[in-house]
Amino acid sequence: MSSTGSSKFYGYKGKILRLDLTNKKAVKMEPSPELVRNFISARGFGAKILWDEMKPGTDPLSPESKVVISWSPLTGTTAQSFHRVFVVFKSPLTGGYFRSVGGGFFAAEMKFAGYDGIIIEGRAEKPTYVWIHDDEVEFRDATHVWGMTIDGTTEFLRDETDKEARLLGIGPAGERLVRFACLVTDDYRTPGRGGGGAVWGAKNLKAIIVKASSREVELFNPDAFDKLVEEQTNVYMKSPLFESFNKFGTGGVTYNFYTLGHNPTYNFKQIELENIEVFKTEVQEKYIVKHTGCYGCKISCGKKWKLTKGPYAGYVWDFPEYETQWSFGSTCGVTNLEAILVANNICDRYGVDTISAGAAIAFAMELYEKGIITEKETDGLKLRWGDGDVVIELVRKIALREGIGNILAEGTKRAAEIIGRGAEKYAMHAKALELPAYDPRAAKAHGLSYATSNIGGSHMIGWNHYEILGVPKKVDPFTTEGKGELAKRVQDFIAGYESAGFCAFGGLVTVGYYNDEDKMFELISGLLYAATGIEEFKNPKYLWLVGERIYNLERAFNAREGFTRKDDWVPERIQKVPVPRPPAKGQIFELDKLLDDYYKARGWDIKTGIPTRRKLEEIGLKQVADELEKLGKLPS
Amino acid sequence: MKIYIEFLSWASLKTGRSWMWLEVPGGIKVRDLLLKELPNALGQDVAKVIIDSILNGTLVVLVNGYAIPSLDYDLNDGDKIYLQPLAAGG
Ligand code: SF4
Repeated sequence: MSSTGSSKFYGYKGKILRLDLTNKKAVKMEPSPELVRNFISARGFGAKILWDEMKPGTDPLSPESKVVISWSPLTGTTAQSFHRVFVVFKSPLTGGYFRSVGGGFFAAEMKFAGYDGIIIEGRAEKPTYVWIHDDEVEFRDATHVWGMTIDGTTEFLRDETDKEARLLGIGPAGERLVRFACLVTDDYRTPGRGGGGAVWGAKNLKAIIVKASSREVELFNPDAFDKLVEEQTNVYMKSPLFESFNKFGTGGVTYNFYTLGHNPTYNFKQIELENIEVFKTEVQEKYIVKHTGCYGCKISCGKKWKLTKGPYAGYVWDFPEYETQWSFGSTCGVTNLEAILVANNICDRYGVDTISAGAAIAFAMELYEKGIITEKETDGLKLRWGDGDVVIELVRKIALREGIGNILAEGTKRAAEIIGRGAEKYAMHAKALELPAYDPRAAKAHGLSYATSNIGGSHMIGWNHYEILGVPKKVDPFTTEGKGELAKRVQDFIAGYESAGFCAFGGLVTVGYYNDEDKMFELISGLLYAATGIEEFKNPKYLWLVGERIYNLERAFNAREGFTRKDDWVPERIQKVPVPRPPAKGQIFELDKLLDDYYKARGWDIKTGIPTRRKLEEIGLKQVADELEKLGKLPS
Repeated sequence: MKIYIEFLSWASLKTGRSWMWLEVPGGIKVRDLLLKELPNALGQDVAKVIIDSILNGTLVVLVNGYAIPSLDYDLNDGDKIYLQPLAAGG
């Protein structure tokens, strides 16, 4: 089963663009019918192509490493929230499979230009950008924009190409190979996690900029499609989740989630955060001056904040999302919203993942508190909890790899190894990806997803709507019973709708309306079928199968790289130290018990955490089983 | 007994207040607190908006940070009720 070959389906453009940076060669290939049928698009394309093309053991920062960027047959259509850009690569932070997702307008523009995806390979001799104008693809010198922030780069490259072109690129952090540097599009929309920006930086690739001359996507059944879009729009408007996303964006939940035991404070010490009230929406609302959104999405969950007082008065920038309000806020003990916005601004412009950056700073603050590092190692900075100015200065240092920032830019796991002296105990990560803004002790299936996720400590790979929202059914977040099955279900559900390129927030708004995942899949499969005419897509159950297939393939990628059960882990603090504040007071995370339950639910080998031949064959991945067997990685 | 009620996000805009303490009969259930006590405290019209939002799932009732399985939940003195709009973050 190869990734390319001959196919022409409605909805798709029938072309994947391969960019060979070493030889400045652009080749257009057709995605094979097998790739399309078995993996649909977006995350599915990324997982399959990376599995096929990336040899195990490849250094993510070498010319041999590859990046797959893709979207969906629904991208560029009138369907809502299907216009995301999915970036799949081997992470320089985790050493494993990674999928990172961003919004904005880039994916839609690429689709209109005639493509279903991009494969990036090789390394350019000098800083390079790629200009795509429909069929024309040019490799251009980027020396003059190397060193520029994203906003500057966008302005310069638009001047040289087209004023309305859309750009996906890296900032100074990616150029400096900060291990959690991100990609940025439309100034502040980021496929943020895992260090994709560093992979581009190592390839000397500053940006891809695109402008299409048509706005067309050919559909199989336009009338049926229009009806389903109408239904989708209706669902959005009536969903109980719409108002909150639309009014406040994800930042609307920071205080709420604190009351649920999330929004973990002080590097997961979880002591009460004084002044937590500043995160209430009544306070945040005063900063909002504009609502923004991605291509084709009525939710418009982006907000622009304006600062009018204090030392940062004058800033107008994209608001800090929930995760960022936590990463530069609660986990660093900071309750200064203005400082959090400025730290967010630096991250967006320099191209840094806000979650990993804030988590690395909280880690450094705890080391400072414990006397493991002193002002000698912090370039004279007093890393006191709650100091927003220190957070801002550390973000800058990380982005530019200055002083202590150079160590933190390696990610908390590696930084702890460099520092030694027991620092490992305070590095809050899973598979080297910094843990985000939920406490595994306060939601066990959600935490199980942190531990078992193929990309490390991610909240988006298995955002457990049962435990956190009580949708479609309330589940006690503190119990362990049945959590293996629940984590699996949600992971497959998300992989299923991400194979169609759907936004996770759109997903929550939709599932919040239907109170039923199968109904949501019915709508998505209806849209996919009306767009493409592919029979398999008609059946909503097929999305569950593809979701499970993708999840297992990603797991197999990591198994091939040497990952096993020992890597499905969360830090000692999470496993052993009871949460001190309500409502999760007294809770710990029962890792081993939960892992056994999860592997059983997955049909994976309990000893190694690797998919069995039986499971792989059941979901159409026989060749994957064969390859793992050849490499001696398949459980006996 | 006394029960603390907090109105989060847009719920506070609808009620014009962020929190309140309510004196209620001992052993009361959440349902009775909402239907019988809340209208006295907030006025019929405002209480109706809140109660309707709870019944249609737009507002979630948390007691001491825990999403209660049903409105027949027994309250104890000093319990904290959070009325939280169904909202999600990423
Ligand atoms: S919900 Fe928000 S992030 Fe998702 S597509 Fe819409 S505007 Fe973009």
